[in-house]
Amino acid sequence: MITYLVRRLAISIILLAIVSLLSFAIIRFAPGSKTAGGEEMSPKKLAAAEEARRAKYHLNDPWYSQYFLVMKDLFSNKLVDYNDRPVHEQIVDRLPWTMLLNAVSLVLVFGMGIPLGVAGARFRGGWRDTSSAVGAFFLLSLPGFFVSYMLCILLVKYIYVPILGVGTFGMQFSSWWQQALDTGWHLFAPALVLALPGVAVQSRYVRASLIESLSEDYIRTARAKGLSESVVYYKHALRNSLRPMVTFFGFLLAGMIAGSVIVETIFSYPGMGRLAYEALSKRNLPVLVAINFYSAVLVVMGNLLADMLYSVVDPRVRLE
Amino acid sequence: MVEPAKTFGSSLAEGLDVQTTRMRPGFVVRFRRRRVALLAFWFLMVLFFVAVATFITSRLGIHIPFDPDAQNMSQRLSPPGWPHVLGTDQFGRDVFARILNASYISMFVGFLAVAIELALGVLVGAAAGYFGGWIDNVLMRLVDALLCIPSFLLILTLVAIVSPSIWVIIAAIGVLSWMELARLVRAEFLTLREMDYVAAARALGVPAWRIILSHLLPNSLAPVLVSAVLGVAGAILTEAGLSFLGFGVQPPQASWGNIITDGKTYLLDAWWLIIWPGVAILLTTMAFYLTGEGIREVLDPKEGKRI
Amino acid sequence: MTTATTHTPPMLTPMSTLVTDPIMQVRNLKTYFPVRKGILRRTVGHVKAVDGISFDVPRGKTIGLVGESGCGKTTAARTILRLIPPTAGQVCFQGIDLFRLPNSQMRRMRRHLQVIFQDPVGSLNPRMTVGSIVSEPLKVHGVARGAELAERVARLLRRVGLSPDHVNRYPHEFSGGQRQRIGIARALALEPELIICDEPVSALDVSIQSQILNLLDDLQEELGLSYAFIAHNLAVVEHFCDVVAVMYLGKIVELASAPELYGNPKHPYTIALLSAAPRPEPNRKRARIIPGGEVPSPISPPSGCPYHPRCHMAKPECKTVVPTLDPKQGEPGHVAACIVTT
Repeated sequence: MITYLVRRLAISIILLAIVSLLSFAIIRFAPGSKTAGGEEMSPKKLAAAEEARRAKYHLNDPWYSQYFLVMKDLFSNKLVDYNDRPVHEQIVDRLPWTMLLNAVSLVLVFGMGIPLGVAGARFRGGWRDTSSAVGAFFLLSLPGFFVSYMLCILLVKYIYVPILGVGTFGMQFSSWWQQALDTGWHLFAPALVLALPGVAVQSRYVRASLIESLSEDYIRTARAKGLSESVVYYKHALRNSLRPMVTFFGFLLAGMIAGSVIVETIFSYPGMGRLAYEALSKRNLPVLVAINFYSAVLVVMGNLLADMLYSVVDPRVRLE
Repeated sequence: MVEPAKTFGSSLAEGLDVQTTRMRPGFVVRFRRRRVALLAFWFLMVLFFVAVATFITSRLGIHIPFDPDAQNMSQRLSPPGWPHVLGTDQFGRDVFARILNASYISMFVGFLAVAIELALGVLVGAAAGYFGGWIDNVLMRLVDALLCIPSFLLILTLVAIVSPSIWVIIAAIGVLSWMELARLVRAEFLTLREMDYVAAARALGVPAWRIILSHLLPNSLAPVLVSAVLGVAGAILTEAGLSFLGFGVQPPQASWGNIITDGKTYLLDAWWLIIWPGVAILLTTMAFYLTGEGIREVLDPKEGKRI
Repeated sequence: MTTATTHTPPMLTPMSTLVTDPIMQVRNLKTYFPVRKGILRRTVGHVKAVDGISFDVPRGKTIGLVGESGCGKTTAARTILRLIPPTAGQVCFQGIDLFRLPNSQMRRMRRHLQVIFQDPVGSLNPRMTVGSIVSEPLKVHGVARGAELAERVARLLRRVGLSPDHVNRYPHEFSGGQRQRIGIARALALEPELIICDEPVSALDVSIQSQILNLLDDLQEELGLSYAFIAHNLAVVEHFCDVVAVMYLGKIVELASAPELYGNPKHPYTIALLSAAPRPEPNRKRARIIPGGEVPSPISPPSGCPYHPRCHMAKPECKTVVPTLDPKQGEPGHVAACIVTT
């Protein structure tokens, strides 16, 4: 167990180094302009600004030491973006919001995906199963931005659910629980959009693993004991589905930032995805380097956590 | 459908005999029984035809029903009706014509990106799976590392830095999404490599390239095919997402994603600017998913649930 | 066919008078698989699947390799064919050391040395027609093409008792016995001198087994083939083989001509195996000897004689003394690795 952890951690760190270097190299070497489009400057001023920029981002060093210096700056909060705002600070600002959004979305995924999957397995072959399958592919095929706008039309026209930002203007003077409720209310639409493809995937996984376990002897025994179908499905058979749930959790953690770009942009949600979009639009490369690095950290962490959770949900899995 | 094997038969009947005495009905027959998948398949065929036809006619300067770029300010933001069946946008351009014109872009991106994916994935997976040893180790560590990069974010970064053009999009999607396929092919090869018929081929002195091409690849084709079909859907969705964010296909060339972006300003007044391209993306990706799922189920020896 | 002048003389001296004209000689063959553990995946031990076996394959005749599953007989066969890299040893086929041949020459050598597999389902590519399965070796070695190729394939199919009309069918359309015939046709295609039969009948019904054995017998007579025949069942081997080697835990424990081995077994393991085999005289009372316990792990074989923990005749010294293959009373050339029996 300890051996396994040490080994995995070592591999993770090496992997992280390779990945961050790779994404750094891609940004560094991809053809295209590397400077931010700024206001017009006189040639002399421009040259001076350019010199300052080169020093600030270690552009005079060879690219490999540049990588290390940039990483060092990032952690010591010295790396600034093209507007001289510390990058690290921006990320610390935004990351909790994205985590909150994804946590809510995870609850929605499990809350909807599991019952759908159980229904598919329980009535397999019937019209309910077929429609749950087609429904799953429907959700999977829905582009996030399209759903978002459909939701916007629906919510704004017919139901009052706020769609932009995370708080109503003026609410900051209310008590903390009113603010929390307000934020939750704002989270509903983006979390739902984020959750829909997950619901589809999760329901298919749950259905498949349920069908697999339904032919096992222990399920027959459970039925023979006279347990109700719901108890058989939810208490006995569903244990077998814990594995795909863990897999999904790993995926979600890994793809948290990338998955949130579109949704956060549409709903003006102050998370990492929107930060990425803003940085992309303004070609704010230091921010992009940092975001790609943190995404890689999340991927490595997601994989590690999922592998460790496997052994928790399935005692047969040994970490070796 | 299991017919008894014919033990008799004149030489005349032999040709037919071979076709009819299979133990299981053929792939096509079994696929046809899946109504939903079959419907999806035919939808794709029609779409494919429309995309090719639109591409050819637009190059010839023939525009059916309208020129997708022709502006008509007197007709701006008119709701679906006649002659603009799906309405017009803020410049009075016909939405239906624009959606048709975008269809070949989506198909083009989808198929070409998957072609790159297939080439890279099969090559790497086959090499790793067949040769094993250090080749496998090096290639799979590379795959692990690349899988650690959230691909949408990196594709987005790459396209934004280089320049949002259709070729960059195709290359970025293709080059950054072959890893799962390589793993799949490798896993297939690892299993198949241990089969006795591969050992037999090696014992017969069949060269490695021929074993890979005629023994291993044909037997691992099924999951590769399914993954490729699903990959087209993924690539089309990614392209739509990129175009929506403004880093995809650039106006005036219409793409399903950028029509929605253009229309979002008029969200509450002109719903048709968002609904129709959205439905186009939805139906197309769903058709690819359902077709892929249908193929997977037909090829699965256990033949699961039909959809 | 087997006149002394038509072939190169064997490079190694024959092991004994048992096989005077060997077509292939195996000496001290070892195949070890590493066992890895720990953070750095260090090799901590070896599975000694084949641990120093030596035997001669008689020309135009059949040698049987018999043992329980897991005793290394299939690994030995695959190592000889160079499908698995050897750890040590020599395999001389008609005087040529196979393990020293470069890959390109080994590929040419394979024409003379063929194999039939146990599993008639797994050994035929499900996506190739019978015709392409049988013709592949001919194509690869550039032996025949076009009409001649078709003619040869038809002849091969006819020879193994299949209809040439079957060329366009797929393996799944055939029964187990028919599939094994396809496998035999494929092995025969290159007109080899030696065929290694890796349990060719173990997966078949008993009634089909005899058909296939008869076919192999006929082919041997007609083409002068030599067989190395692997089986886990002594009864199958008795009438089919001329010489029999009994394997246990990667080693040969007894080697003798077939009548001698069955009439006068010397190793306790052979005795136990024979006592377990069904005999055609049901009324005769026999003491059935069942080896105690499980086959030990080949990673850490027992000390001394590897068979001693299960042996019904074991003595205290068996735990320490490693027995060698020594001549035993009876026919000349009969050897067994046991210090108890004489």
